[in-house]
Amino acid sequence: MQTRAGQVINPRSPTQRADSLFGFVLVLPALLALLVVIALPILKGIFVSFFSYKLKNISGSLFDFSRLPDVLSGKDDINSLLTLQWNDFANYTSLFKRGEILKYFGNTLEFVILTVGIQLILGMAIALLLNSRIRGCGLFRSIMLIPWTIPSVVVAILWRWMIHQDFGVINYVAYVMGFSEQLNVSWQVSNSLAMASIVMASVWRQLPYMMVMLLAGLQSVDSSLEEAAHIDGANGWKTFLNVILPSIRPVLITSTWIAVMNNFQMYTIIANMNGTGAATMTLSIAAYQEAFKSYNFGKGAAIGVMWLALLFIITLLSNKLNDRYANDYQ
Amino acid sequence: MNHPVSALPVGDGRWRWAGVLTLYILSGGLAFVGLRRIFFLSHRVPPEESVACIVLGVAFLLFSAGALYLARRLSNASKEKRGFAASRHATALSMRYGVLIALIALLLFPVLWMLISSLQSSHRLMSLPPQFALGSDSGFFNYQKIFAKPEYVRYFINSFITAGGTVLMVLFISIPAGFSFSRYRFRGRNAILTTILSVQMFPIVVILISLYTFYMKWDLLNRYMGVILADTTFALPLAITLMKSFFDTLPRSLDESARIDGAGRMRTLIRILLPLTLPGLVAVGIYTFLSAWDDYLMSMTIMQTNHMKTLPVGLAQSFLGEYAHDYGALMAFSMAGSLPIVLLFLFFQKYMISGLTAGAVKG
Repeated sequence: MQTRAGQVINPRSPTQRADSLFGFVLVLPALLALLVVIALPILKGIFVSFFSYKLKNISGSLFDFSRLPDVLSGKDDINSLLTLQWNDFANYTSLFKRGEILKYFGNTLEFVILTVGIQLILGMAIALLLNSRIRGCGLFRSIMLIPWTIPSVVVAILWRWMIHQDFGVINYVAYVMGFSEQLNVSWQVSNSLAMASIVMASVWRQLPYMMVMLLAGLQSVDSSLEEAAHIDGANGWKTFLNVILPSIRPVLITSTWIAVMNNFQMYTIIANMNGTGAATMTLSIAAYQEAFKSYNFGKGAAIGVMWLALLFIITLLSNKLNDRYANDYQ
Repeated sequence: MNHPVSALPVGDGRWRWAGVLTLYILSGGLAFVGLRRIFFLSHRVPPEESVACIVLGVAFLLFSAGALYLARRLSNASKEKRGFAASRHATALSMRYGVLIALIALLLFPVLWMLISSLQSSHRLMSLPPQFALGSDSGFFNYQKIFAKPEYVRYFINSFITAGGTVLMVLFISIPAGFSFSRYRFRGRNAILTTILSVQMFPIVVILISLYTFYMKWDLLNRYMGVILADTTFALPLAITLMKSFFDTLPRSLDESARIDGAGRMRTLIRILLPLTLPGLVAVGIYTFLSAWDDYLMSMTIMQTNHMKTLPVGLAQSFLGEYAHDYGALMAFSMAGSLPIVLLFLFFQKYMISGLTAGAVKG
């Protein structure tokens, strides 16, 4: 009578039934936390995104149940139960009318693709370098991880100091090395420089984590596969593409996925480096701005619902892609 | 060993790459100085000195060529012993270490710059070219300025309380959950696991909008418990995944022998399995502490009164207000805010790295 994961269990045995009940009870606290902090707010967010939901509404409750008797007896319309005012999708139409939402999508995707793409390429390069029979690999790895431990707010302020218009050390170095024509460059004036600055700061903080993940993947690759490829006459690049990359596919996908999700959420570095500048107005900055600065909670929630929809599409696409490549390699 | 090349001072194979690398860098540097003299400086100096300048430049180029020759020779020193591949090995190795050391310098430079800036007086900070060296007027006064203010000390205490509370709560919830996912099968198990993992997808900002209104009703705004609950929930997915993979590595025969000895399920978990997953617990705990210490968005929204604010919020606020142009004080504050977490990481990095990578490699 073993209870082993992966085995179909006959639910009639009393011990096993007790086991599965016990298993469920152990998960209960986690489920409860997720329900209270994630599920309820998401549902409420989707709901209020269809209404005019502003500062005066937030302290009250959504429904007025004292009217329930009237509604049941037919004196009142069912809508009178709601304390909120229906506004004919005004939250959504206002987002689309001026094309704001498309700009937010564009900025978010630009930020995510640049940040994740750069850290993926650099992280892979460093991981390959560290994986090539280097003495003191562990020491190098630990030292390189230090930027990852620096808090995001500190990262934002530090980088803002380094690109300071008048006394920034990066401006100075770029000028001395000849990359820049003028010394006092303001990174916030130009749209592409503003985006570049937040991408730089984010990559600096996240690159070490990506590198360590990929390195762990590389270290788990069976070296006999590489040797076999070498004997068959494959050069370094071919071995990398056809042997190493497929072997580390799970790590690659997991760490890319985590990075994409984290950068979609990115608020701290963007807000503290460029505030609410138009060039770096991503979905998270826009939603926070609408909700907690303009106190238009309904519109903020509407941005969130659009965001969820986008994530849903991306998830579907990546699952499709994933399936296709999984079939290719098997 | 009586071959002439073995007379070179850096003959030991283990450290030969360092000698090769030094010679290559020396050669590159000399070539740069030489070319600069010939093509750039010779136009700047008075005409009667320009010939001397070019001659000096050529001399530098010759020295550079000499260094290059020595580098090649040193790198080929083992040619007779181990064949052609080995001779290229020293050069390749020296290049790899060179790139790695350069990368580390590049990655750590911002941290160094933060440290230097935090020690400078505003006079030295606001100067061009930037001052890398510490002067007689450098010191710890920026740190003294920060810690003289009671509210800044308060931010530290608040951050320690929320991050520590989050760690305890995450461990309390993720240990049983990870154990359960590793050992038991029950209806909806896979659905629950998938749901927990997809949590990190949901936009935190959007959750906060409604969570804020819920917290208002439940009186959790401006309370440690409010931030701890929110931080815990967002740290749970990774913590549960990691705990599950740690429990997965422990053989089931342990559970069975414990059962035969008459230990109940809870006793098996606490007395037998938990001590064995201690490295895993440390990894999960440190990771959670790191992410809770880093949290800005949630504590900014939930903690509104000044004496409840956490360190990142206080830092961002002083950056926008009081210390807007006092970068020395800001860097001192940043340094003090990063130090606990960097030390924590360096101290436990062995557990951290193995813990972080354990979940990902299995996919």
